Amino acid sequence: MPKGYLALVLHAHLPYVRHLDNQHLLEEKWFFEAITETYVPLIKVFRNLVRDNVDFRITLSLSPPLLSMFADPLLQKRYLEHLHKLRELAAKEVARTINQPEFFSVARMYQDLLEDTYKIFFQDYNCSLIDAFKELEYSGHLEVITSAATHGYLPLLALQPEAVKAQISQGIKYFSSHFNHLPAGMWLPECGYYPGLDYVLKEYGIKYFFVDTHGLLYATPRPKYGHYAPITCPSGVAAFGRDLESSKQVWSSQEGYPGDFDYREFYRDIGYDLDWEYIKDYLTPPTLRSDTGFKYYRITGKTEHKLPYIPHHAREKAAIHAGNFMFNRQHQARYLAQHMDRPPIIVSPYDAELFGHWWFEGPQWLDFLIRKIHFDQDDIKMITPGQYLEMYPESQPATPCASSWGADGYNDVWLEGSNDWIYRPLHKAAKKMIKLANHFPGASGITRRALNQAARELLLAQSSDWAFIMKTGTMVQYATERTNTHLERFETLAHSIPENNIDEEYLSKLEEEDNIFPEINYEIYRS
Amino acid sequence: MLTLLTFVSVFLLVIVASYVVYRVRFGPSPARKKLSDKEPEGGDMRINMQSPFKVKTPDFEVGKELISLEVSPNKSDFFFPEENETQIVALVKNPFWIYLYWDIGELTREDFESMHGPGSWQHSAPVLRVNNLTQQSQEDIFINDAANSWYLNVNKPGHQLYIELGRKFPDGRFITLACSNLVSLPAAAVSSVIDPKWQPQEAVWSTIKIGDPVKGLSNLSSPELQRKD
Repeated sequence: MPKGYLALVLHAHLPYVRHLDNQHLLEEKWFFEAITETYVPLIKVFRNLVRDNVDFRITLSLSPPLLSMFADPLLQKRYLEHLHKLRELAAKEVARTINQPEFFSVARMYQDLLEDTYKIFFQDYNCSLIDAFKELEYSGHLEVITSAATHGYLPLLALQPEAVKAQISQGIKYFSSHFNHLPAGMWLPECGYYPGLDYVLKEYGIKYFFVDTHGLLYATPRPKYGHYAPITCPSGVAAFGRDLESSKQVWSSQEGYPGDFDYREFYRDIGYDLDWEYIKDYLTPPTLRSDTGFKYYRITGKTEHKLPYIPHHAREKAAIHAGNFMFNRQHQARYLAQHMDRPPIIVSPYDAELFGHWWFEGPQWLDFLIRKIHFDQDDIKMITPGQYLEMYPESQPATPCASSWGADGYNDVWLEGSNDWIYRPLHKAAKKMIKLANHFPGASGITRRALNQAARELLLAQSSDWAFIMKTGTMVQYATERTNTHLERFETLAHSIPENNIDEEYLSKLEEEDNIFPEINYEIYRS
Repeated sequence: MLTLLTFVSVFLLVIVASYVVYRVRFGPSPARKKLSDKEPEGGDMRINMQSPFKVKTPDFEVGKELISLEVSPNKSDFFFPEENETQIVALVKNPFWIYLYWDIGELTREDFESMHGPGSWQHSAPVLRVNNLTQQSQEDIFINDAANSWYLNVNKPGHQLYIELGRKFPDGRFITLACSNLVSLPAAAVSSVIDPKWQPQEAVWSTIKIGDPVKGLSNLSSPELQRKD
């Protein structure tokens, strides 16, 4: 019997970026970089653990937009082309650095990683990474859950309950179409919770969700065990709270592991460093200097003078950091177990894209951590929230506090000077969609197609990513354009439907361009 | 007996006929009728012009129009009258601040002036009335006619509020134009409510550093992790 449980939760999400033209290659590359640097490396880590008979449990949230992109044949084809170019560049880099031993081993490392990526992506899974996650779910190592349809920030869409229901129900429906079962839990976009939201989750069969630390600590009544045990909301759905200490060790740019000087420096990339003539054919888009993923330096320190990256030194650090993380969790569990009537659960949720893309050694760290937990100790055991609830079905009745995991813990990130303008048109559009859905029950033919497409456009406009990007001040033009474009498309369709004046050519174009959720039924918006 | 019955029948007929004539001549114009049978009861939430300080409790689901303003000669307007409606919406930013946005329909000013006299719009000031249901209080915030949104520092964690958008005359009369949805401000501290069956375990709580925000990467989400230009 372990003293306590560790629930590692990875939330994988990217906004739905898929354009038929070549005008947004830079944004499309977000997805490609994440496949190469995060999703495939994580799959590789998990597969190797299974191969080595290491017992582990991870909760993985795959957002519906990400699932849609994984499943999209156009993006699969484009990624394969992108990967071919990277493999070509890797070969050139190995040749270029052959007389520079400090860089040559790194170039070889990238070549090996990219060849592995090709093997896993193309040869093992025939471009369908969802199959890899299904495999890991079937083997009992992953509890795969999902999020709202387009990752809409629900507390700010709640003006229209139908809009929230549509986000939840469509997300679950799309997830189920791939995994053939309902998700046990739901990752609320940005952990955005407000009292009452749990009833919507309950309606669609969800058993648990996550809130940030204070979402649980400020619950009413005050939870007996802080955030070390779930609480049961009035709806009967369980809420788990993020553990602050373990989050900080991984997330914090000041105190966290990813800032270690031996780890790879993200901001030195040959896309910026090498001659234009040499590198231009490998840049996306080809007219602009940007990251290629080939980075040869380590963080070194607070200096511009960066030293070469030494992979085995970084690997050693990842092992040390994994040991440190485990030691701290053991310490926590041993202490808490003395004061609780059940083993504590330490919930450590992270954005999946932190591992590999941002923190290059993140997947290695995870690999070391899981192996150490399995082989080196008995105090803690990995668990998923679903399993914990099966073992300890009775928990304290309480209502979490409205909260998010964004800066300052509430809605501030998604509602401030740079992005507040989006809510007026988003709410109006949702109101129109509800009215249309109520007025045209059981529509058929072109009217049905137009209503379904209007629902897709509204959902895409509601993605929390646009408000977030506006707030951070990077790629703002793209986020603004996406919000406006989807709202304009929605407006055009919404006005043409009651007029019975639907432009079929226009509609077909939108169906091809914004093709998320092929099986959507606009009636999810009915009151 | 028969005569009496005949008299009563004729009397009722006259009353019904009079009412029909009255409705035809003086009833609400088509432009002001309810949008559809599904329109919520909020359609009746007009200002009580006799008692401007008393309005019906708002519908707390969605901000409602208090003066019906639809002009609907075509189908689009039938479906989307909100493009001309007067409404105010409240969104929670955090336990201390709310964000409000509002629209004033095309006919609101005209209706207001026909109700309160020419120039009454100019002679009154726009006001946000904060109704705090938790502490049963009201506060008026003077705004300006150019604004259509506002960040309001209400500083009331855990309280329930709704906001009225209205105009105030120099003599203190307040005329409501629209009521917002109800908002519940989040808690900003540990609850004082204790479930006797689940008494807080102080040995556990003593390990938790409350109010220790995670700085750095925790504030990022996926897109920013992809890029930092």
